[in-house]
Amino acid sequence: MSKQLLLFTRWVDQLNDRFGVIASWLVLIAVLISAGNAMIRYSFSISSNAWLEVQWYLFAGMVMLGSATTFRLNEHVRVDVLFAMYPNKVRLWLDFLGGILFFLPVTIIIGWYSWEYFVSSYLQGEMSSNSGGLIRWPVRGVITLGFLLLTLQGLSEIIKRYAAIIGLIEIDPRYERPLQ
Amino acid sequence: MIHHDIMAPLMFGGLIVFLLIGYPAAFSLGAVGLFFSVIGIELGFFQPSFLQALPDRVFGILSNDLLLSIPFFTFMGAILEKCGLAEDLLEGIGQLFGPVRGGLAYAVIIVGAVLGAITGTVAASVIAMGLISLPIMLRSGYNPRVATGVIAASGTITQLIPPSLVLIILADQLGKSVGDMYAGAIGPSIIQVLLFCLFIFFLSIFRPQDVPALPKELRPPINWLLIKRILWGVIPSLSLIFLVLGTILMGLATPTEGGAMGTVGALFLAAINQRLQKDLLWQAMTSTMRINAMVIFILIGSTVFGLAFRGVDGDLWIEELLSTLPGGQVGFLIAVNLFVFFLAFFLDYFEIAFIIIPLLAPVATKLGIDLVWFGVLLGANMQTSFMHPPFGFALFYLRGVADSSVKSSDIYWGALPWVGLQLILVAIIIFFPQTVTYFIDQPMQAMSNSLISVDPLKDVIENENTIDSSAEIMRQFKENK
Repeated sequence: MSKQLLLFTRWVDQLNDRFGVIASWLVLIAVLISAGNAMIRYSFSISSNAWLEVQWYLFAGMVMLGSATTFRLNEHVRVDVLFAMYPNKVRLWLDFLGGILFFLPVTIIIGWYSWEYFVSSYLQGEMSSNSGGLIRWPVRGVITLGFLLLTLQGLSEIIKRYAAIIGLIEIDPRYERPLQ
Repeated sequence: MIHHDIMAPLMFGGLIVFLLIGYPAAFSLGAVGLFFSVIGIELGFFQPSFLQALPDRVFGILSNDLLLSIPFFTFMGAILEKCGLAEDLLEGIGQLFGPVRGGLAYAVIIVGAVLGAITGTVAASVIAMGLISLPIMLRSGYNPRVATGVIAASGTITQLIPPSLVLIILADQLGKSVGDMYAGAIGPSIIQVLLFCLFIFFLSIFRPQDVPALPKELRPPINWLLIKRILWGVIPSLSLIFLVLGTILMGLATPTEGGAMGTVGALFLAAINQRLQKDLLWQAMTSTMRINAMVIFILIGSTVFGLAFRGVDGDLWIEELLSTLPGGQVGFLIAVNLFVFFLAFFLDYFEIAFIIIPLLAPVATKLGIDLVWFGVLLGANMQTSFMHPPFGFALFYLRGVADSSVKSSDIYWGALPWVGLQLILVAIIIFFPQTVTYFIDQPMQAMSNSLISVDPLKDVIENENTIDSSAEIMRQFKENK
């Protein structure tokens, strides 16, 4: 049983790391498109709503698809005044309980309601209100997908923390604040 | 039965406890919000449909064009950090100013300001200066406290000088235009650089042994090589400043597009310097992606919190609490600044901006406070969050790159006078609002008129905060044609 659970965590981790790779590429693509939009508008005085909207579609993609791998890498910022003083065992318990009580309710509830939005957007064929704008359901879908991936990652982290608490695996629960 | 009046204070207390526990803040915030909305729904304070509005808020955040500038500026900073620009600037200007007493410190301040005007990451400036200038300063006989203090403080200048991310985030949260916010920050940025330089000047008079001139054997000959070195740092810097800040202030590009063009410029510069390797680019992309996801999720978490907090009339509670403060506008500003200064010990600037600012802004408006002034003021205040010992980020980065012969206590003590200077700046902005407002109206016009005759996007910048900015940009653009 525990073996299968750990296999599940490995599968989730790999899956989300792959989405993380996609999300990272979206950063570069968005930069190039946005710079292109500005330069083309200025030099040729033409602009397209579709290309302007693509920018924030990519933004939605990089946030929602990249968030799970960021969580795996423990890079969602913490207030570490107390955390820095906890012994490792306490940190593991905090992440274990926090995962169940804080993380999963948030991702499941928002994810669930966003699914409803996505379905109705898809069925109605919701379009951007700008002329020449893009169809909306893909970006609604990315939100739902993002929360689904986060939920999976949350489960994976909870299982790993539990496994570490009972001594099955080792995790380094230390935390370093990301550069900014 | 819980009485209505007690919900808001309870929720605020819950927020503090949940955050302090140390679970990732984005999800703690979301959890407090959801927890109290469930209680609120049970007790009939608000409708169950409340929860259904959440995905729409997430959608609203993701479709906000302005927030896209966060990954762009982060990306640009990550590239610039590695492309050798800071090194060229520091070595060139350091050698130019070195022979003067306190010269190396002036060079650090100036380079900090120039790097700040190009991009907006404290880490990049502090790390570069800690690696390059700190060893030279120590070898020349600088007091380690002065050397580390001036480096950490100059790294934080970038927070206030446009195009700073803090100002973009504050503009977004306050519902003001980024262009105005940038223009408003020009005055205080200049004052800050002057304050820093003045401090070094006084040191060079009263404690000359702390800030000696570069010793003769370390001085380079003034020749063509030195000049070339300086130009090699200065010309790309000025081009990048124009590319980003120039286009934004003249209204040629939105802040988001300015960030994108600056990033392309930085990539170009890295390519010229032959630093644009595959793994550098990849590192910059992934770290940007992760920082961006982290910041935006804080915003999503605080939105969940904020919605529920308003649901239990928390906004009214805060307003009541703050409007009973004595001293009207000034009393409010001083209290708020003390509060933010204190919070900055525990929270990052974007956490403060996302959680606290939406609560304060309505009260400020009611007291007749200009929100641009308010935003710039808070931006100046939040700089100190990088300088607080022992958690301040700038000190932390500096510790990371400084030689082990530099004591941590020197870094902490060294930071204190500069925190003091930054607080003086805050006081100056409070008592002289003109320092902010002066630059909002006049020079912008003068600048854009002198440089270009037709200005198709000027109005767009003022309308930056409309949700549908793409349509707005096009509409304005066509009208102007």
